[in-house]
Amino acid sequence: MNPITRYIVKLFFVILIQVVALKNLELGAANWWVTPFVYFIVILDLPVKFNPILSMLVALILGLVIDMFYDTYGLHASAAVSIAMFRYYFTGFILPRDGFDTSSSLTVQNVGLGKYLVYIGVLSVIYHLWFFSLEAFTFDMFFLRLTQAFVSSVVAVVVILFLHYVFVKFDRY
Amino acid sequence: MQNIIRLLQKFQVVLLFCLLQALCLVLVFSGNNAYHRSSIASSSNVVVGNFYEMSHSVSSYFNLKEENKQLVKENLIQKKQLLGSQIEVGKSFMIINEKVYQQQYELLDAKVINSSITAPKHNFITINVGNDLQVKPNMGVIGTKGIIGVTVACNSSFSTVTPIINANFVLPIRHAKSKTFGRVVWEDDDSYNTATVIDVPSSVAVAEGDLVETRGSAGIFPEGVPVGIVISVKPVTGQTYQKIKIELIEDFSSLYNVTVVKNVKKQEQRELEMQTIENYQQ
Repeated sequence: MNPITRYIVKLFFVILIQVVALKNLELGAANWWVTPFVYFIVILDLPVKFNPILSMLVALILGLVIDMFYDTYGLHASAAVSIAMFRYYFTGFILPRDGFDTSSSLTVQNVGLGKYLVYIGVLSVIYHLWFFSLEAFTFDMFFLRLTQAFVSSVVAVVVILFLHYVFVKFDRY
Repeated sequence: MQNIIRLLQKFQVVLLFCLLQALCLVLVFSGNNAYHRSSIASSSNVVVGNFYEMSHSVSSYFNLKEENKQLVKENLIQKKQLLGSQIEVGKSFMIINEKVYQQQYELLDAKVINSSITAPKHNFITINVGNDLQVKPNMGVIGTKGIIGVTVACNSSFSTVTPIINANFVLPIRHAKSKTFGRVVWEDDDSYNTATVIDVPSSVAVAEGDLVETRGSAGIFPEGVPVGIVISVKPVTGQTYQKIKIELIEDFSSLYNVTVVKNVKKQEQRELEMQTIENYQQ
């Protein structure tokens, strides 16, 4: 299968997971704390040396699609674009100094589970914090929002890790 | 020129990021998000509001003189109002709802706005309640200590009262200790703080210092309201009653707060009594 077709299949799958499964997560009172977003794994999954401008545009479109489903005009697009930019600068800290094929994407096999967890952990915290802050649009109760972002991120990281293994299997298939 | 292009190329990622963020924010605040629209309005209000407050805190010093003048003027207006250029007219009888005991007397507080004590025969009092508040002639008026008189005439916002110190005033009373009936009148030799009790039989022992109170028989006052204190007792020659001088408990030279008494059951009592009298006459 062509890598671009493969990527588009992943995109649809991730949007489906986000909008059908995670949007309807019923946790009762805990729902306020746990609002995980995982669809941006397809941005993190892009090849390391992928053009940052293109990746930001992909993120924008993907974010707008999610926004349509969540009725949040531009909030997810903004957070996704920021993720795409931070990823571009952040991968430099994660990657080994030499011997890494930058045309491939970051995976557990490439860099090990620890580094991969740092990679998705930091970026999902940034994503959630950006999203919740922009949603509230005030500095009132900032620490509450920080907690909200961290709790949601922990759940999101678990789901992202699961999706990552699914995608690795899918790439080999 | 080339330098600028090179600079743009160097920061192209950050520049595009800013551009896209601006696009997203425009979407956020122009879209259907009622909350975000209102929140950007309120946060800009915080900035603008703080600026205005700062500038006002400086500029307000320049207006202090004008404001002082204004305040002095307002003070004058308030003072004029305080000096009694207005009278209070909006009140009503106080009613207590009870199921077991039916209330017979309703009370309404009033202010004395005119009174006299020096007229030889016909002193009167004016109070600030009238027909608007269902005050009618022949209602009792009680002061802070004892009875004052009975209303005689009313218009929409005033009533006149015949006080005890009026030659026309007659009221059934009783000697508090023995419950013997009598009538209180105001005779020629009475002054503004005394009255005369007649019709108390000579056989009843009345001593100085005894209390005289209302009897409640005419339905004007409740029973037991203080009227006066006995200062002298004289037997009347050739009569079976004694003449008792009392000192009025209420100070008629300084009346201010009074209470108007309305007897709800007065009509019933009167009708039954009249019927009985008619029966005897037939």
